[in-house]
Amino acid sequence: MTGYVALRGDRISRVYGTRRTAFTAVKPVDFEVNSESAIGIVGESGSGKSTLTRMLVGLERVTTGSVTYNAAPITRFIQTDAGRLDFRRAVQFVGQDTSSSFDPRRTLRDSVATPLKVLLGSTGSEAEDRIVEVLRLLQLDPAQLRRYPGEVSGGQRQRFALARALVVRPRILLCDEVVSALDVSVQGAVLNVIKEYRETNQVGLAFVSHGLPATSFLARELVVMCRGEIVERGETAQVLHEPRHPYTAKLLGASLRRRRVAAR
Amino acid sequence: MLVTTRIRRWVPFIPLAVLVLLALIGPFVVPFQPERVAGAAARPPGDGFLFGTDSTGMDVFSRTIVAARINLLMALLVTLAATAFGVPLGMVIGMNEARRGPLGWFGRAGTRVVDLSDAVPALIVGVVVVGLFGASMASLTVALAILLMPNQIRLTRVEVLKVRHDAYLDAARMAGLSNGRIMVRHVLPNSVRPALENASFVFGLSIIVSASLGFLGLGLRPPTPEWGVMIASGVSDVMLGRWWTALFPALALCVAVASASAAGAAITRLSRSTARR
Amino acid sequence: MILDALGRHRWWITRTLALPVHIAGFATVTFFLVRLVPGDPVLSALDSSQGITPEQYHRAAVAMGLDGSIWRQLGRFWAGLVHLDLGTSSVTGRPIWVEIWSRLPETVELVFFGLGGAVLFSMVLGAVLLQVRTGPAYWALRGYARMAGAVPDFALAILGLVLLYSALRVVPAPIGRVDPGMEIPVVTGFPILDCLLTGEWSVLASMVGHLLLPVAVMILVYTPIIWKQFALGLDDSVASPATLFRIASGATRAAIYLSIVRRAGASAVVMVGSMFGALVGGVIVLQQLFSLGGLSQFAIDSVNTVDFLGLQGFLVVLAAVSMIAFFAVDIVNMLLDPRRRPGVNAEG
Repeated sequence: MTGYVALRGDRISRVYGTRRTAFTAVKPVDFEVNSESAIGIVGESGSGKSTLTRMLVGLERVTTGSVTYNAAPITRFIQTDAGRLDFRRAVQFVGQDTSSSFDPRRTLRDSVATPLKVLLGSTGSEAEDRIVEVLRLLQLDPAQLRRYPGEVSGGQRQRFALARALVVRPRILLCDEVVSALDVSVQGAVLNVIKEYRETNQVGLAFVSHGLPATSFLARELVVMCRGEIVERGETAQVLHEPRHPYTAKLLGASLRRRRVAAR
Repeated sequence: MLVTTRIRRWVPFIPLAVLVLLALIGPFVVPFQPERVAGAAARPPGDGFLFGTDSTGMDVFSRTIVAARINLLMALLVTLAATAFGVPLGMVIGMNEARRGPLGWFGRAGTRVVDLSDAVPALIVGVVVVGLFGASMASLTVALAILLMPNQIRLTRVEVLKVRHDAYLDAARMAGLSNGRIMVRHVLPNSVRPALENASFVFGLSIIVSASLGFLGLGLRPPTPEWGVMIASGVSDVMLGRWWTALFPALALCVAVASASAAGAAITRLSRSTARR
Repeated sequence: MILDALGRHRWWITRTLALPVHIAGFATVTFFLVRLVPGDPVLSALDSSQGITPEQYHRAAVAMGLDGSIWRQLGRFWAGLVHLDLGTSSVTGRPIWVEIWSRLPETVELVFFGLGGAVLFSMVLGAVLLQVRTGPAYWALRGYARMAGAVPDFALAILGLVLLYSALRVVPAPIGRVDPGMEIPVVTGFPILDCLLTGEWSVLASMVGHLLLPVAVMILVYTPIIWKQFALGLDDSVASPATLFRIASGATRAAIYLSIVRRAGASAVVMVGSMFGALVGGVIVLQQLFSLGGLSQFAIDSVNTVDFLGLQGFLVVLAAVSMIAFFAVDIVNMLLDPRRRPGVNAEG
């Protein structure tokens, strides 16, 4: 797929529970990611970053506001068969759960090939070629495809999950903590792959992480979230060196301290 | 995998398969007509009558084999109905339980009903149904299916609650699958196991209830061969020293129920070994 | 002061007050269930071969208590409940309550012995299994436990009868509770208890002989079910911190085992309670087989004569017995484990 596409959230928020026990995961925010973006979303656990991305891809209902894809509400897309396929072809999401990211009753090949079959109608050798191509990018052995999810490591599963999202050549990719479960040595490799893939294929990226170094490596623009709100956003370099919000400074300080400790 | 291990997996199903086979072809292969006098009355086993003859001269062996039909048929219908309705209901209740709105309420109310149904004994339901509607296969099947369905619902619901939050469901949505297809393709196979295991219990219980009703004289009328009915008339024979008319149907009943249990245990073992969690 | 005492005993007072409410509730559910099932019991009872006049229908409906709107019937039903009036049997013409009540004690006694025996047997098996961890005995016991499912009790009884009566002549013929000609004393209505109370030893011996096989079959059939629950509770209980504490503080083996059993007993007790009510109904098959009387004949007669009120009364009494059993179980549980008492905030 080619061409510019944009995914927008206008004043979207997510509140759980009833009036008395309401918990606000995300306060009303505006957020856009398009096929030219390279956005990093950082913040500690519970800041709402996962919920924000899940709302954008339609995995989570919005309590207020609306999410639009190319100016049309995604609810309308998801309701029709054709619309759903269009939307999912263009926008893909990889989550943070490594233990249940694959159906334990199906082989990895089955799971990775499903989006190709459903969204692109691609099967047989054509599909197999594409799958192997993406696997090699992610430094995965295609022989693993015949295994079941329980038979490979968590880190490998995470990379297979990435492969599953990338096989359909999405225009926008949203990643939620996808490298957090990987070994440090593998993290770097995967981050490189994602960065290269984004630049070569012109894919828009929204990358959620609680690790600043990984995010700043990939992102041109940084968004900092704290307790459901976006407290700061701007160019990566600027946010890193001239944070305007005290929370950002705290986050940076913690990260710097960690780096110094690691360097000793 | 070794061939022998593969074969051994299916061995526990053999008794049940043989039983079903007998139920199907029985009437065509038995040596004597089950509802006609075949020889002298009250002959012990031997002399061409494998299980002897009863007090009216009918061949016990033929009647025992043919009687399998009735009990097994009802058990099969009840099990199919309870499972085919119970599992989808359990899935719907489980998937929608926490939601607000009418579907969520329906889910929670459903659970209460299921809990209540546990205390009701199946046989009494059978007795009451026969009392109110007469001994028809249809009303008995429906009544038993309704009584035993809540357990299938509850078992499925518990599994669905576990599966509901698994990330591969999200991945399936990302792959463009509709909610319906996701339920069938991912939720169902991962939550149906306990209901399948319980299905063998439902099967065995249905056999017992239908035979018990026959025994109590509330089922089908003689001379239709039915294990319970045969046992009932066999009791007085036992006191006269003629043990064969009651023993063989009783044995057949035990074997049938045991086969169902064995198959159920095998299903449990099988699905445990293929679950890759 | 009185309020203090009331507060401390709140747990069983509340539960006791709830009992009649539960009984009334379930009786009402039964009322609706037998009426909301599709079909017309009045029609089933009448011989429709020559057509039915409205008068005939009305007469039959009145006899069955099915005339008037459903709310009228409910009102009559509740009024009847308070006076223990469940209508009149169309078979004997006597009040249904009397028919059931006269047969209830011997049924309850039978179930008591069957379930009680099964509980004891389960505990014995549990103790054995704790000692024997391997070998053929272990696997045999485990195989037995797995039978906790559908077992045809009357088929087993036949097998036992053929073996022990026809072949070995160890048990008497299945023709009743006592040898023909003997009379059972009536004091409380519970046959064995009455024999003990009146010192009729020969009758007692005869009765024990006749009940041997049916009770043995009941024990054989119900033990796996109870034991499965008990074993599940045991697994939890053995590994719990309370047990470890006991072991660490040097308690004797017997004391440890007792404390494990006490804590594990809860789920088994609940199972026994729920089985009791169901069995008072379910034992009618064995009662017929061994000619033990009890509720079985009444139920069968009600079915054969389409005595709607009889069936309804039967169900109501069964429901009441179940509620009482649940009540007893709850009280026992709350005694065994103070954490289960309502109003107690504890780590559970």
